[in-house]
Amino acid sequence: MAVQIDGALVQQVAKLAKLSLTDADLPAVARDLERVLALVGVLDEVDVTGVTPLVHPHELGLRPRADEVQPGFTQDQALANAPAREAGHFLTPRVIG
Amino acid sequence: MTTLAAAEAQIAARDAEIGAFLHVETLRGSTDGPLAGLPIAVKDNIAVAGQPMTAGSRILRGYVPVRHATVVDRLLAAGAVLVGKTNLDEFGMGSSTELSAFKPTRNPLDVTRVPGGSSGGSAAAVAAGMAWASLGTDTGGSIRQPAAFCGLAGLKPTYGRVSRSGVVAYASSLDQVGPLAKTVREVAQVYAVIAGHDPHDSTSADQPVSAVAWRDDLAGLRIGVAREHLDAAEGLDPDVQARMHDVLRALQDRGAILVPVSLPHTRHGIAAYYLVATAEASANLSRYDGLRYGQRAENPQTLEALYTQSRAQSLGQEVQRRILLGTFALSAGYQDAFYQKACRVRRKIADDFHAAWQTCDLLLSPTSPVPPWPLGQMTDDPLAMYLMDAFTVGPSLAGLPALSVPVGVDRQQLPIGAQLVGRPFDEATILAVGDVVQRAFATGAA
Amino acid sequence: MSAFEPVIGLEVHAQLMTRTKIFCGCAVSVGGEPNTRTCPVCLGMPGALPVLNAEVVRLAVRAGLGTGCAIQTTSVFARKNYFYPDLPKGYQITQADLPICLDGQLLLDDGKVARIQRIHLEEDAGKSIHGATGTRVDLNRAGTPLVEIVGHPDLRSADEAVAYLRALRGILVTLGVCDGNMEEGSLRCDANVSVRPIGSAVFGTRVEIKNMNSFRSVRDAIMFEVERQVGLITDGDRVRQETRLWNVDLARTESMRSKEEAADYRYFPDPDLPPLHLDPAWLDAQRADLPELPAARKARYERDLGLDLRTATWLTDEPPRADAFDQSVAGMPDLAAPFAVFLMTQVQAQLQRVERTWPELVDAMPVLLRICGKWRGGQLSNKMLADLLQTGFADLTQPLATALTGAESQAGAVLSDDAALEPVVDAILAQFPGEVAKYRAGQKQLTGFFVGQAMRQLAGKADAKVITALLARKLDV
Repeated sequence: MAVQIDGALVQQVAKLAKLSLTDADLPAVARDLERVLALVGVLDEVDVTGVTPLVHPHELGLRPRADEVQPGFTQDQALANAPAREAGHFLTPRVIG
Repeated sequence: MTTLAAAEAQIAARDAEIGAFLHVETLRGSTDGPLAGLPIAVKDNIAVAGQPMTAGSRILRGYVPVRHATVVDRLLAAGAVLVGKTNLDEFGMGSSTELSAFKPTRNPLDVTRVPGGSSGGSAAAVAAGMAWASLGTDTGGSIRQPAAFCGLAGLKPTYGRVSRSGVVAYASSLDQVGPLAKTVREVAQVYAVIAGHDPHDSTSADQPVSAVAWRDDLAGLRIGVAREHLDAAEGLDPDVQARMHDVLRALQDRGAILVPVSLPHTRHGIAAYYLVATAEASANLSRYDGLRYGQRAENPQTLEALYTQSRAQSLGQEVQRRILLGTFALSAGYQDAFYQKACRVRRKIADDFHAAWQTCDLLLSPTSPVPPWPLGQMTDDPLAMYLMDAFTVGPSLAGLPALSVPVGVDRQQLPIGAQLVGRPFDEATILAVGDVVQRAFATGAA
Repeated sequence: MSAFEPVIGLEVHAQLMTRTKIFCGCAVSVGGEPNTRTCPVCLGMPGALPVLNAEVVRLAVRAGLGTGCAIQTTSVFARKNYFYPDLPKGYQITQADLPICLDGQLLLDDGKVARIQRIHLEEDAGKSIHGATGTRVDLNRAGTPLVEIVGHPDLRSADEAVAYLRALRGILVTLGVCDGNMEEGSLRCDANVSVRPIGSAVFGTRVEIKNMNSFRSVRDAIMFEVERQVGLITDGDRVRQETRLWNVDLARTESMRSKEEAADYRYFPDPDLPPLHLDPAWLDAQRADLPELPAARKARYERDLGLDLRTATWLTDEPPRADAFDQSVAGMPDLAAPFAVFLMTQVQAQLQRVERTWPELVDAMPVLLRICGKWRGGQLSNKMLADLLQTGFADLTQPLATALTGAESQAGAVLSDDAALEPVVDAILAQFPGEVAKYRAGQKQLTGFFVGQAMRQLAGKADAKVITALLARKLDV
């Protein structure tokens, strides 16, 4: 599938991925992405009609665990690596600004 | 054999130049066991509790895991002594270890050249005698190619054979942990310790791990050779090609039968691999948001700024490139044509291998189409670097075990590796044959 | 107004009654100190991997069987990608294309069948607390197991929506899938509401309503929203597709701040979780293990016990109450119907006065039945019964069963022998000669007056039937 990568599409993808791109970055990233997509364009050659996508290499099934409580973290352990915390919570800037 | 004292001495003597380690710290486990006293280095995307873990990324600077990865628990229980955490391309995304956020690693066999990647630090540590063996991770060739580049043996086990619990995810359906060491037998020794079912990893397989039957005679063994991986391969270095034919002759001399096979979708492997890997990575790396751990942008005023600035400032360019590609491949309107298509082609690739198993017991190819390149040569051209994975991504996509075995050096004295690919969960065969191959070329039969 | 009909579909999230979270061994709990029920998995630490809880599967299958769904022998977990502070991994593990249950139905009280589209498993998010210094995040709830039950837009009124939710809740509680507590959020309901001209086959623009945490809110919010939409259309305006929140204090739905970009969740199969395969033999065992479901129970109450629909529905609505009822009336079919009415009226009235709940009443059910039996048999007068219940329910110092037994023994015995009551009756007749004359002249309804006077004299502790009989004997000669 040939895709025209423009700045708007790159910006939209960056937004989904939470990566900030400046307007100055956009043309270079768009070109870059376009080159990668040209590389993957080779897949167009393959006829995959009726082929089920392969996601898990060996397609073994899940084996659920027993519903038993296992020791977890203390509050200190949970927050040990947190850049900011307050009263036992992780802290972020206000969600609604 | 590299002892702990020797390893520590080598680290002190050489690591300033090589740059194999991001963190040096000795951690002893059990006093006895199959690996008692053996110094082992661990790639820095595998959690060792209490020691910093960065996965080669600035975004994890300062992060200290509270629990060991399952493989680390197993090494320690088997008596291994951990000597430190090794350098890698950020989150395993690269083939030269130049894409570490902290420093490049140099190839101990030729310090002007790359050690391969992404497990370049793990390979360099062993090659320089700074560890007896090491753990790497392999998503599309990240154990095998650095093993080949550093003249080592390196095993990517069957997908599901070794637990991923505590291992920083790059692409969850492809990632496997495996050992690197100077010999196939040493690789097998570490593999025997880390392989096996782990209830903390739902993709871990509950398949028996059989012991390797070491042998000299390969009578009747059928070795598949795909044209697409040898004589019809694009961009294959002539020395590497010639050496593969030497290897095949050596195998025939020991009674093996060569079987021509076809892997017609080889040329689609890299495309399928990059779409699947980046799609999974785009979700796997969403957790690096500067909230619960890792680096956060200074003074973000809004939540959106916290996310976008923390990630844009602390993730490297190649990582961002792959996240963008993966996000795009999954996004509405494009998912069918890119991610889904890649997963369908993935099945065709896996089917090619399954078909090959009808006529052969293992496959042989070069590990890398070229010998190690000079530092800096590929950093400006990520796409050229992607193409270096041509022979390693297929077995990754199909979830097959694959071993890189050192088979001497080329005219420039640069190491060459041969890749042996086995049936699912049949590591034992490729290890046994790899041992034969390695011994055949041990005296530098160039 | 009447030219339009509402079209409503509910999406219900039910928290599963497991000990541990869906993908890790952390205990599921309400409240507690923040971030004390966490581990690397539910905090989304690097390298942590999900492992599915088997009990979650069993409960989801029960929910599916209880709602007539086709249980899927293969289902797949998917990642739903979005960033939010209380979503640790940057994606929610849920089920997308291949959920665990498909195509069920609910039988509503009015006989209507409402279709269920699907039931899927997913993990809950944590809690964000927005304050002055920023947003605080507590991840204790992150990873709590949920089923989402998605209904077809088959409902045509707010009352029908409530009936659907009641029926669904009854099934989930009966099967031990969910505790059904809407106030605490273990049962949450979102409604998709649109309106269209009656007779139209196409759907109008739909609005999603969130934040309704009681049956009352569901009813009020839908009624409000339907009226709002009809108002817009009749004013020549149009309905905007959006999510609105129910504001219970102001009794209105309010537009959520609209998101800047349309969501693109980029669902794809979670590579960390292979497909879930269910063994047909195990499924058969699950099917065989189902208790009587509310619809069947209600039908049995009407058919075998002679309960009217209202009483049968009321009793069935709280499965533990119905279970206890079934146990206590076993072997006494004659008392069952009056006892059910007794519970729904006299006992329910007590509950509206005091801080007791139905679960507490389960233990007291045998005592209540004994009291009801005494009352029906005349050993307790109406007055004595009312006093007894009042005293028993008001005593919050001890369990209800104990309190009621105490009140029962204090109530003493009703006066029912002629020898004791005859002098009282004689005195009343002597006191009201005029009324006696009127009675004898044909005003038979004065019996009530005489009984009342006698009961007052006796402080209510007499058997009115015996008094009535005595009066008849003395006046009708």
